[in-house]
Amino acid sequence: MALTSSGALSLNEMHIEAGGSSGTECSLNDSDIRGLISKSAGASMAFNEWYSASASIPDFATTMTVGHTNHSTTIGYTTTAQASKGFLSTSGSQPMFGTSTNNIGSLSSTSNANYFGGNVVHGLAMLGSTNPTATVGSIHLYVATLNISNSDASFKEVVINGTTYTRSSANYSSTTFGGFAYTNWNWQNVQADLSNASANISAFSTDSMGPFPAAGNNITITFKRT
Amino acid sequence: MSEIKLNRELFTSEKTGVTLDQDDSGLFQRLTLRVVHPVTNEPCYMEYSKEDSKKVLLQKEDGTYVKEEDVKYLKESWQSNEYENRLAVAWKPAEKGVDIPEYWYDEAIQIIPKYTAMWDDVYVDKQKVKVDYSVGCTGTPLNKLNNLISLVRAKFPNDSDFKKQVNNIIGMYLPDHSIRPPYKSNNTITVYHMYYEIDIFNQLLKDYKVPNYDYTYCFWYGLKYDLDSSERYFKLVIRNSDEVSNYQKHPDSFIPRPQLPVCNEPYFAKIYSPDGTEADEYDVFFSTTPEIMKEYCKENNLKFPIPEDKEKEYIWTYGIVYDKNTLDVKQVKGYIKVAQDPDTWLKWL
Repeated sequence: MALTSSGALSLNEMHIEAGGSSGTECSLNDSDIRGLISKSAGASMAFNEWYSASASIPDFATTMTVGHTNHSTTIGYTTTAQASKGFLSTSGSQPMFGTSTNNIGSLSSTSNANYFGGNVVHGLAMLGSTNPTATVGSIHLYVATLNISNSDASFKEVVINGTTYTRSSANYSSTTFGGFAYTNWNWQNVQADLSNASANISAFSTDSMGPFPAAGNNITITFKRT
Repeated sequence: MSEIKLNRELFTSEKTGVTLDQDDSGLFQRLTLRVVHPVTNEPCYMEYSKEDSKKVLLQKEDGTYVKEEDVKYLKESWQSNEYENRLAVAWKPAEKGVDIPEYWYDEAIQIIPKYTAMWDDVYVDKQKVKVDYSVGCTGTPLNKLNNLISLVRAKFPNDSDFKKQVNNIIGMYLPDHSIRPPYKSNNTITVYHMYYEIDIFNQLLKDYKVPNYDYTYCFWYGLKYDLDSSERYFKLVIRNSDEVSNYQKHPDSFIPRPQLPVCNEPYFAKIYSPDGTEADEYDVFFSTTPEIMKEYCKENNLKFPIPEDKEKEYIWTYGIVYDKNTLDVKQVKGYIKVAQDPDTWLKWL
């Protein structure tokens, strides 16, 4: 989103536009903030030069071949069953499923220097319960490094097969699990069928789940920063 | 509970905080907090979504606040869920028709215990009150299990199939402990039939005159053999469902229960006497972290069941025995799973 074209403009807004975290230390002479208006270090600058300035980071588009898996979880004597659809690589799937380490799907490209600090995307998949049945699930995005910035410097939104999920609507967490350090964004209450609120999560690989079509299909995933 | 005034906190801070973020609508606040994993003790830093943060953040003239109880609930929910995920390491995928009968496999019961040589130590008020042996035990535990079977057969010669399934469980109360109601004698032997044959189960439902409430039953049931009175009780285990928990829609089948701690989805048990009388006591079982359970017990003036030196063990469930009419708690139980061969057992810590 470009900066405002008139009125008040704060240094913090410039910093965010440049991909920085809100409220963190910055100055007009920082390279990323200067870069918004193509100024060299130490050049004279006026605040109104940043009107309508935009970082214009190119999108990160990658092709996902959708995968699918089913797995059960038993706690004590209570068994539940889940299905997941999308892309998960081994280390990325462990924190999501506990016992299951099934890899599913693939991404044609898993990293981009302008996104997530250049770190590798280990998973982008939807998880939902098939027993007991559920009409909604959650989408998880895993990047394999601790404490990646939860700001537009990482990504602003992700478009999965034509449906947009904003970072602002995602929960964010970062931890280490089983030796695997990761940062996670997750979107809750995603409908099993985006056009039918009463449809249940399906255990079949041939059915769609949320924005993910049946397993085997190729879809476009686009991360955006602006 | 009180409210916490929030400041911006570093992700390494133990304090709950708030951080600024921005989307196309402008600036917004996210609730931030740090929790510690209940098993690995690894810290996890979280920032809640714009929508979720808005639900719990309170804007006042002098700043942003959050209710302490909301923070407690969010932290406990995550910890309980993570503890539950770790408990799952004791299980492995089953082979249909080999490990698990096809009927149960098709009902999505598709996992079996990793090991069959195991038992449960059951604790009440920090004392071991019962040991439940799996049929797959060997050596001394198997001898004990065989002895229990002999005792049952002596009084109930028509009952059989105790070892039909390698995961079946047979246990006995230890002497010198007060027995849980409705049982009257410590001289009671428990037999749990796992992955049972549905025809046999349906016949038991008829024999014990169990009303049809459209419950979803679990894949095991218990027969409790009172060797003193020669009475056999039927313990039905019921999954949580709308029929169980939605009083407005299902007042007849609703199972009342005392307030529970933050936990996974509970399940319930009812006990029937041979004449079809339903016991006044129900059981509710659930999993949660020892810390959450300890605090729950303290708040409700109950006795935490697990001894201090066992709190890091594999406590796979807690059980509460309560009066179905008054909801008074009669007993709090904790179940620790123990492997016969410690070298094969869980490396879950």
